[in-house]
Amino acid sequence: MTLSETRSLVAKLNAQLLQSGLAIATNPIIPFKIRDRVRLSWPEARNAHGVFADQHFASLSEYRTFVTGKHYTSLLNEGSLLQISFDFKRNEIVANRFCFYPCPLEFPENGYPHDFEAWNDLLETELLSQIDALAPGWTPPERAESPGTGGLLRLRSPMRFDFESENRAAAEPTSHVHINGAGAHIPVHAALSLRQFIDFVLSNYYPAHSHLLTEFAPDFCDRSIRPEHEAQLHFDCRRDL
Amino acid sequence: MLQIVIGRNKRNMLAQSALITATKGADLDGTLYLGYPIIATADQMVTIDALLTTKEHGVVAIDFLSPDANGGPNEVRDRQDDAYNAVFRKLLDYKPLVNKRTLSVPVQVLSFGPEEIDLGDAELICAGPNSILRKLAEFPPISEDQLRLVNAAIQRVTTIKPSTKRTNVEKANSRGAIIQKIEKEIANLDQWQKSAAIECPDGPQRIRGLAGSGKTIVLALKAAYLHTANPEWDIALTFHSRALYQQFLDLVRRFCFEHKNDEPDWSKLRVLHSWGSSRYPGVYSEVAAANDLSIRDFAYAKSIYGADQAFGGVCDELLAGMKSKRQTEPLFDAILIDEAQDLPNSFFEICYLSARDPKRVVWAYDELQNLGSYSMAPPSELFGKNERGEPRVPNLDEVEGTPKRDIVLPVCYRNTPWALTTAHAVGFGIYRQKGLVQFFDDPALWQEIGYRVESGELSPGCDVTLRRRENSYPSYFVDLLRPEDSVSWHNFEEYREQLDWVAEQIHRNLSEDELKHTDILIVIPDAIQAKNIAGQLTSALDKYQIQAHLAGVTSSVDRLYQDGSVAMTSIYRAKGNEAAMVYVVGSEYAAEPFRSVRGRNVLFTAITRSRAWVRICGCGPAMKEIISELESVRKNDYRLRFPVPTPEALANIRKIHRDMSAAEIAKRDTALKNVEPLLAMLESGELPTEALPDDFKKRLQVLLGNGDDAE
Repeated sequence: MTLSETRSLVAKLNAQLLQSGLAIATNPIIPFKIRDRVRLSWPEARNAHGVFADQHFASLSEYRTFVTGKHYTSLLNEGSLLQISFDFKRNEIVANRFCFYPCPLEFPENGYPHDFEAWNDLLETELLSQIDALAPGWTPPERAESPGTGGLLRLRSPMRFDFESENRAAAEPTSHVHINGAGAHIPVHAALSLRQFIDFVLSNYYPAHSHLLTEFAPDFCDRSIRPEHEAQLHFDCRRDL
Repeated sequence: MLQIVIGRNKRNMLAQSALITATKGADLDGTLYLGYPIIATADQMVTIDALLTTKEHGVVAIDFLSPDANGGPNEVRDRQDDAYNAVFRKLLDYKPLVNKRTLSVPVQVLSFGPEEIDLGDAELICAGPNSILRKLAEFPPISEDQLRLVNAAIQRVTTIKPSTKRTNVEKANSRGAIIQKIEKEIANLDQWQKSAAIECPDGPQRIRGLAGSGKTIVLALKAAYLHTANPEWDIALTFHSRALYQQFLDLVRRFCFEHKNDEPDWSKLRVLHSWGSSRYPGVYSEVAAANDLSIRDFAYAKSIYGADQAFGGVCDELLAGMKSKRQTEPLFDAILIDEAQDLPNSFFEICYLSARDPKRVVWAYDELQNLGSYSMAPPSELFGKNERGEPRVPNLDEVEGTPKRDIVLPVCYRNTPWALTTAHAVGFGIYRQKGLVQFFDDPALWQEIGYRVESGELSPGCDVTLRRRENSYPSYFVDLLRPEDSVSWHNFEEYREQLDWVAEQIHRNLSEDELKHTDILIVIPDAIQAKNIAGQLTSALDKYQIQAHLAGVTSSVDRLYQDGSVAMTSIYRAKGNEAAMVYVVGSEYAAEPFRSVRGRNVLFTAITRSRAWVRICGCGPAMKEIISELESVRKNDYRLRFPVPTPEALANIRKIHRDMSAAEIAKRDTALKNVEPLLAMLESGELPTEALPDDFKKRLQVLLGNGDDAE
């Protein structure tokens, strides 16, 4: 897939997510130079300087930084994030990063499906203050009658699928997924295509929306897993079924 | 004309009053600032007792003689030197006023007292009420340009917005080149902004302003000035859109640096959201805590009062709690409220009770930008009643020689006169076939917001024709733009067609007009449909390889835009933002039934986001209604012609067009649904109309009158 085809594909994905009501805010992927590559990513990624390295994987502060810093391609209606980016060299994909970041809080009720602004306000005031409330040294405001965080917190790990074609010599798999820890590199049989990643997220976590990508052409990447990784428990699928 | 701006003078009120009297009728063109500016030098803060900036006599710093007959020539000389040095340095900081190594305008200094005085020192210029004009006459004039630069240096608002880099502009008359010229204009405060920013009466003060008239900047300037002049005061600057928080912090910080070269003391000058949360304290939460009353959060308020009335509900509760206590705890020496039109009445009474005497509560608003569920009450109702049942603030009448209590900002810097007139026309329904949907309580307000009566009379029952006054907008709009290009409207058969057209126009804006992605804003009035429409627009724009984003959660209004991507937003997120080119998609929202006032206000807000051009798009029969009104505006050459409603007609307009609550809408829908089978039977002939009971038919006839709106 070329650079402009990729941009178009993400625009199409965002359009579908918005129209179905699953996304409430979206960002395009825009190109910028990273060393000898062209990266296609959400606009704020260009100014991210250290944002990713400074945060602990799957921490509340990481989630908050991503939401308030607009570090996402799509913000879903219950607060989860989709992050999509690609690296190109000579108009060919050499790396990609697909992350599904579930919202660490579950709202007490879904009372805002049609009111975009009310939802935004709720997210900003309630959700973020709930997260702050977990910070060390926080004391509840006197006489506050907040429901507290106990019933809202969900311990859900982000799932980040990374593909890096140029680290074949390294010990970690060329294509891998991080679950529950940045150091976990669970092997994946091949680089995921965007379609595969979104299908995976929708069918497992948003089954009501699993039909969204039916108009997207199937897309598979060549198998890249090495034998030593294939011998481990890993992610795999067959395209011929 | 000499404008007198009364700031906070603590030294010699007699001298101030005598100076006002002595200069008021003088044939001078410029400004007399009292208690302003405050200038930080290396080791002290110098408040200039009075600063006269006029074409006739240039820059004159006036120091008031001490009320106790002063400490002799030495003290007077020292004070004159301090005032001179402070003003000189302040002006020297402003590059356009510097010629080689010194100022291009001279700074004069004199001392003034309520009585004539001779200190016996020929070098010291002193004056009293009788000699002041004679002494001033000795100072040489300056040019109009120099006066403009002097005022820019004193007000220092020129650097509020960082200018956009426009390296892509190559064509002399492209839209990019035009907006570049507009951005370069020097933004001095006008006479009304000066008053609003500097004058602070001992009591409540109302600031009304059009969208784009600079209310937010004026309030930030005021907060910074009051904080610098009275560092011991507890000041709250509050607002309703959380997105404004960062903008206020930035503005106040910058203005404090202008005054005192130092960071504000944030423990004394507090930028507070109206409600607050555990993350950001707010006026509501601080007042409740100080009075030992329950702090309610959004989840609680929504469950009890519904999302629309959530804040109103908790404010009512808090106010009732405060009233039931013998004594409430005043927290602030001054409370400045922005976006007052979006706040419930009880919030103002809470602010009044929470302000220390003499109750300095300043509230700024634009009634037409009201997107919420509250409407602005007059001050006599807004601040409640005292123990005797009388309004706490019966009126805001002006007292001569004291700071103004009611200020209207009539100059609109953001919008072209054509966009503003169009926005007012659709906002009020001036050319609506079935008549007005809303109107000002006081018709005279039209003149105060920058319209002049061209013919007729602004009195109830009279026909009137209004037009924007030439001094109510910057002249560059007329020099650079054409009305028919500045405001245009487009009706489409199909929704899809509308979106395709918008995408094509944006493509042209980016590829031919030399506009940047960040110059363009797509506003979607219908918040419920915003996601769906934004999704379709994303696809339509993608055909031209144009990237777009739907603005999400953000802590700052400034972050609506992103380089390389066109911003789409619901009307709420659009508030407080502006763009050179605005596309309003789905404008028919404003004319849909049962939404008249709110719908009209939404369209008003959408149109007034435009800095230069606005495209009002929509489709369907409701859009035809809007288009017909827009065409009337143009046909009337951007004049507003209408009969001024009588009080009875106004009451009727309010009754018909009041916005319905969710419960009322549900009740109406159920009733309409119930009557549907009867209508179907009548239409099909299954039930002949003759078969309806006579009494029923009579009642229907009476209710429907001539079969039209009872307007």
